[in-house]
Amino acid sequence: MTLRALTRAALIAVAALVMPVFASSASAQISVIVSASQTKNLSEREVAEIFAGASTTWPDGTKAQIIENGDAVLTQKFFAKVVKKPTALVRSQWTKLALSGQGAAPKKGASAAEVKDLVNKSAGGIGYINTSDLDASVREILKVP
Amino acid sequence: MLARRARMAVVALALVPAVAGAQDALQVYGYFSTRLEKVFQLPVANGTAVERAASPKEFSQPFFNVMMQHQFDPRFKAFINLNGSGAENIDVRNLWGEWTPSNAFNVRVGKVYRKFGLYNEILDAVPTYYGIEAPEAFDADHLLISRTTTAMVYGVVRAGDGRLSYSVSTDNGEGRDITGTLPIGADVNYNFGRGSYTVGLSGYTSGGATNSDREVGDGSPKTGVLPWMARDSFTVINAYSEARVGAFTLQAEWAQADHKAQRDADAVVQVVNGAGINAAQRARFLVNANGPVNASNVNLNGDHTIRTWYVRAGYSKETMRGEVGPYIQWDYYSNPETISSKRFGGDAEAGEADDGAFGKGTAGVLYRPVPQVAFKVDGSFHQYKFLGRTVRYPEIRIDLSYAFGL
Repeated sequence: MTLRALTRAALIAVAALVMPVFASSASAQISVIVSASQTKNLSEREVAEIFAGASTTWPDGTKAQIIENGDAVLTQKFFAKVVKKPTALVRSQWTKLALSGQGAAPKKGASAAEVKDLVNKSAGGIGYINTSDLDASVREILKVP
Repeated sequence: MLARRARMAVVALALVPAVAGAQDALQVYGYFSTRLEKVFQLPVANGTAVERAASPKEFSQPFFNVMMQHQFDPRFKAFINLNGSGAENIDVRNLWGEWTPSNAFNVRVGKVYRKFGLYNEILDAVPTYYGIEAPEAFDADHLLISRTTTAMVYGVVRAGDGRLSYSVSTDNGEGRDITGTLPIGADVNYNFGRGSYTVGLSGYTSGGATNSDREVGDGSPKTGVLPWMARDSFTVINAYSEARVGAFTLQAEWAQADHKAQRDADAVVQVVNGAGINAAQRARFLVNANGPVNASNVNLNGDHTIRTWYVRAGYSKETMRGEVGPYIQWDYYSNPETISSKRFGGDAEAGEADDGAFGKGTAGVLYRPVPQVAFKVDGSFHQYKFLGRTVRYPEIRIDLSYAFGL
């Protein structure tokens, strides 16, 4: 085998290893979801304020019910991109609101299916899932790249 | 009596879903906590000399805070907050119902923590904030005002890049009603930067002359009026700010309470005779400090001003083994009218100082191995003027809490 052939083989191998990573990153978008029957929308800023704990309600006064996704990596990425704070600080803020009665205690879905189910069952429910898990049972109000 | 009332409150809230047709289940959550505090080398007077004394450690019996809330309609919500260390020792901290016709207008009625500064509403959320002790403005030994109110209107409106919040509250007043007072509390704050920054102003007026909820000898008041006042008309103003940027939390708050007060001569005689006051306090309470201790020698003018402020900073670092959060704090409190004896309604820290003022620096760390468990350890040094000298003494605290249902 010549040096050129070896180099080509090595490049192909590296490309094969790296491509799925890029493909995965490209597809790993996050969707902020609400119940399919929910007709109201939220701006990105309003979504950030709700998950940051700065706001506990929808613009019309309906209490917001946060549904946390049990996927730790997804949650960390979502908080970093939308709320722009560490996961521990965001959770601590939710707990503070619940312990003082200012906001509802967050609910947690272990899987995307559970998050969607809780969003549909909870008045004012708002959650986040991988965009690839999106289906007609819920409505996407924001896509996070 | 309290335990019975607490049980009735729990049963009432539990019955609400059945009556109203529940949308969501009743949420029950809270935390258990325990704390150890130890002061070292406490300055004590021996004539005009300052000596150091050992102080016993204080280990608080594990206590619980149980919260229940129920959103039984999109517009109606109920909340209960119970605190205690046993069935016979249950304190109903909050018990309120809330009506929310819109974001701009909410009505909360019951036993309600008023919106006042950064901490009054969240003082029972100890596991969530940096530090173990509340800022001095909210220390139970020397409250600026009562923590709770009975009716509060509040709301929030969008304003520019952020959200403008307001609240107005009223209640039955601080102590026994003297002149038909109408106390008013208010708060306005602006939150912006996607929830990262808050600046605000809180205020309170007693709305006329009132007095304390405690008699001399019954301990520290739960209100802003000292037990030896016959009447006290006062106002409080409080400014605060908070920045939560990335992993950092920075807080600063300043408050001043202006009291136009008249002392009760007989109560002051009890204080001077039994509370072990210092020379500055004696000179304040008596017309002639070297004269006889009787009602005719009591200086009835009890006007005084209380000032307090603090700055706090914390940082959250997520590691493979949980969250680590170092923090530093500086508190200042000044109340020239108070005394050291808690039993007589004073404050052990400010009351020991010659001028009623002290500073307290604190450094500590919060460790959360899992979100439900918070372990905090910190150390403070207290600094004040004592017998004409600046003295300091250290204190350490350890706090462990476990949250459930969250």
